Amino acid sequence: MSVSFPELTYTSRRERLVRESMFWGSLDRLVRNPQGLLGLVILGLLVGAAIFAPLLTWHEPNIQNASARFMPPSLEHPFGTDELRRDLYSRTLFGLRVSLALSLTSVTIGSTIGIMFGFFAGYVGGWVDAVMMRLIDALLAFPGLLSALAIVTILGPSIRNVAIAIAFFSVPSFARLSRAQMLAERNKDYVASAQALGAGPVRIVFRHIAPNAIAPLLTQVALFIASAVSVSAALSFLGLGERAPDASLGGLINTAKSNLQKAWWYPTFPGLALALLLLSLNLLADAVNDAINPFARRRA
Amino acid sequence: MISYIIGRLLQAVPVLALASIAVFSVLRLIPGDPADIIAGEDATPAEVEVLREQLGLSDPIPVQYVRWIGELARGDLGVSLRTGVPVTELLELSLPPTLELAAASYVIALVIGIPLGTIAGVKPRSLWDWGLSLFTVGTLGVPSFLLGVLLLWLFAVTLGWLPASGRVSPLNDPVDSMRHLALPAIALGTGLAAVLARYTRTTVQAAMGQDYIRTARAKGLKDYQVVVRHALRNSLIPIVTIVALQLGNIMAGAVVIERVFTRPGLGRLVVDAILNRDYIIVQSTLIILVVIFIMVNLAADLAYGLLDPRVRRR
Repeated sequence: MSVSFPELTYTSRRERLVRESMFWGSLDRLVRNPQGLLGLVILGLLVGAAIFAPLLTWHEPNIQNASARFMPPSLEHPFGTDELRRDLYSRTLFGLRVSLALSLTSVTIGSTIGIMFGFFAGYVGGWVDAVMMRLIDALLAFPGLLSALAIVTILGPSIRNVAIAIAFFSVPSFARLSRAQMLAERNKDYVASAQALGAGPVRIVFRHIAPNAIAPLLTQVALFIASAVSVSAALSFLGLGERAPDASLGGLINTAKSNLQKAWWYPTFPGLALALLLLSLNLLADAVNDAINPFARRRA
Repeated sequence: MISYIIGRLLQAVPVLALASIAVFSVLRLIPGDPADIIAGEDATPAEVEVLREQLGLSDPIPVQYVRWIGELARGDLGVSLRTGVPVTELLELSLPPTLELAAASYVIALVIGIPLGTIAGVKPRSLWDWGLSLFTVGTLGVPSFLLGVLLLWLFAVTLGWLPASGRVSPLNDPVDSMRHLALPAIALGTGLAAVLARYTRTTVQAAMGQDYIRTARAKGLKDYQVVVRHALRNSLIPIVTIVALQLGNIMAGAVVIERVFTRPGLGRLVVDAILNRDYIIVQSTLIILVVIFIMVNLAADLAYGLLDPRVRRR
């Protein structure tokens, strides 16, 4: 007697992707979550504004061509003008561009190095792991902003060095987390079977373990981009980031601080852009966490 | 308990050693010859040589490290390269205002965070809980220095209720000192308050489902006694660790907040030192901060063991 299994039927190609692919399934859960959708929409708008900044603005950000200093917002200057007769709308958009580009590059570099480090330590194990992790412990003893300050001291204040500093301070957390992931996956049966089939360590780590271990790290990436935005803004605020006349969100807020009596619009718009950016990244990190890990979703 | 303390102390040793090597490397990692860079572009070779001797840069690196540790152990933090003032003197002036700010921020964070988190944890999905979520979301978007600028603008510039800058020693005029401290402490403490509130909420909510809470209720205790003496007391143990771990962020945040409110302190000292390339000040301040941070975390772990006997046995 033959047994027939019912075929899984899907109403559409889309449904099949959502059900069977981890990526599309997670993305589907992400946009179904109102928090995630809101984060995604705000972040999308901000990223769009940053990418298309040259098309969306009609004044050069660094040219002192407005007719007067401290002009309140108008159609010509939607965010007003600053102490050097520059258009704050274009300065905010170009500043956003700097913040985003800097945070994305530095976290991409830092997380890649950290994940490699953690995977290596976790896979090799033994005394190599012990030594590597004590090193990470020592680096974690430095709060993020402080180690960033130390690196900017070594390399000198500049936007590139701020990026290096942020990449550097994101390494230990990623190393820690990816090592833990590696330890959890390393002894599972599928690894043993891959080994039995003769796969080498590089293939096992990247083809077999990495896809299973990477999900929790994605949440960490989103959170670190938010913290990179915040730290780079703080460093620019301290005057350790970009050089004049270039704009960044933190730098704009710094100069706005000295002109609070004269121009309410000066801190408002760069501040709002920064707040929205941080908010959307945090909402997204939360939603990514829920989406890739449905079991950890809150019971509420 | 003794073995727990000894074990924990031994764990701190390699961390301290590696952290000190990391800080020590700061000066040695400057690209090029540190003496050349520190002396400046228009220094004569003879001046550079004097400086190199002065900094001990011609000795082998391990010798330099051991000597530096020896000097630190004797309380010698070196002298400023610019002014020749001993760093210990600079720190005596800069550390109290920053510690004062950090302490005030902790007070604000605890006073707001613990009660808010407790109420939200006891009554999940209430108006309080909803308020806490809103508060948390707000603090996620507004970093402390941005909040500082907002407070400065509203309460100092527009309303004129509180001073915009400076610091008054509490020994000279306690009231005026508090007035100068209020805005910076709120700016720095609010983010921490949200962190603490969220943790308290989670732990209190978990504790409220435990059997001992039902026992306490069955004994006929009043609601607030059940919550404060039973639920909150057990929930506060993990909070000790969070408070200690956040110290690094608070000290680093203080550096930035001092800039917002033009307060004297470590922030001004360090940022000016970085901009002037006064590496000795940066190096000494970093090692002091890192040692404080590691010690406080050690103390928190020990306190944890003292408060919760279960931890010791692990």
